[in-house]
Amino acid sequence: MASILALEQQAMESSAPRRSTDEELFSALKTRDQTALATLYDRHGRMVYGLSLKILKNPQEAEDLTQEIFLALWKNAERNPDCRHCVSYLVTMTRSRSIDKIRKRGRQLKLLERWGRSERTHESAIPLDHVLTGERSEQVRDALTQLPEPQRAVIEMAYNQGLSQVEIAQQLQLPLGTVKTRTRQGLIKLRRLLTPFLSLNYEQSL
Amino acid sequence: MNNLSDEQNELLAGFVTGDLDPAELEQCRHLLATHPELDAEIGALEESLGLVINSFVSMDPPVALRQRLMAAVEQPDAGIPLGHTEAEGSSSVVSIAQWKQRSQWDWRLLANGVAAVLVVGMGFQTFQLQHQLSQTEAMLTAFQSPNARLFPLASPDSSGRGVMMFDPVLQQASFVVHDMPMPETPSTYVYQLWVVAGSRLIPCGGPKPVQPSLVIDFPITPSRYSELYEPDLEGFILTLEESPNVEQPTGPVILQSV
Repeated sequence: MASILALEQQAMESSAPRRSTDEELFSALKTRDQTALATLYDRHGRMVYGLSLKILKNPQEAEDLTQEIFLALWKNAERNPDCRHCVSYLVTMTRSRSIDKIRKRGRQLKLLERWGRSERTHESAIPLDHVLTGERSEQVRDALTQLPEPQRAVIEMAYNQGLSQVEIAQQLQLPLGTVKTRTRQGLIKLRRLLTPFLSLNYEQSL
Repeated sequence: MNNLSDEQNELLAGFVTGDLDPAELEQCRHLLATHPELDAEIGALEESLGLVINSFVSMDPPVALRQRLMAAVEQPDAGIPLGHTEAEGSSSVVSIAQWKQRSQWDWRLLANGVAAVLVVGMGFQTFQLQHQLSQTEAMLTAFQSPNARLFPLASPDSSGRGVMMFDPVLQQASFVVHDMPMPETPSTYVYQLWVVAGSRLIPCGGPKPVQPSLVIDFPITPSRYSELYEPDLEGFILTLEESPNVEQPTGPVILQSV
């Protein structure tokens, strides 16, 4: 009986469509494969939009920027760097271009933002209890709460409040190096805590 | 647990968060080159970071956004996102497309500068000329990137000009100078580039111009890029300092953002 179940499981796995890696999808963009772009958007669009919104605090601008970034992937597919590491690439693009848009708002608006920065920061930083919904939210929430507070704080400030590491260092009155170390150590711990929930089998690298 | 030291694990994590300094980046690249199996560890760290970022996101992008994106893809020449209504600001940081459009004069100056570099380069020995040409070629290639950012600079008397260019995605940077003032100073003096961010000046490394007109590779570390994300960033200042370790500019301003 057990062997039949195993065979059925094997048959199901072999008949399921294989999940393309980001690297394969980036490569497919070079052949003008629109499906690859759509898949990349479905996979990472929420992250790009969400991070844009954290930094820009403006849904319309976040929407425009998200489209701009994915359109840039498409239009510049030939020149895109090796994108085995797609999340880092998209996060870098999103942060960089978001800051550009903030600059373009002009000095008057920036002054207004500075006036209201602390208030809006709290508004935009959604409490963990309210933000985490969905399939893996429970696991991610558990993982975050298991981090030492200093590590959790810098990760939340970077990716929930959209602050740069320099801004975090200023707010916490810490050296920039300390902020970096805490972020890195926090990510290492999260990676270990979240291993059972990652889409690919990374156990071998542990 | 993997067999890596804490330091090596932090290198990989820093690679994913994008905040390694040059020495760390070199170590990390060496580590990945000698242990290709660690690519899977990078993948795991990236996916973990993606999960965390997504967990902070409270709303999905509008459904219409996907449709807009795919419709825009159908238009090969559509350079501006549909629905993009933002007016151009007066920032000194511009995309290459905007810069080309808004500043034809600067473009011509830059082209003249590059041409001057080539002419100057003609006087060098062959290997030096090849080096200059490859630098120029690389710079011009980088200019094609949609992510490239350009900061035009000029000397206080406007006789010399320069452009600081960097690509935060490719993490490449070049510094182009043309007719830059080069005061006679002891060889121990160094040029220092400063990021102007609000009322603060942040040191951003020391380019080494040896001629008034030159294209210089000017690597900016990943950690420096985090400083370039400063919302208050207004531009750059190049000064000549007695020591590379000064915390604030004390020497004369050679070039400044215009």
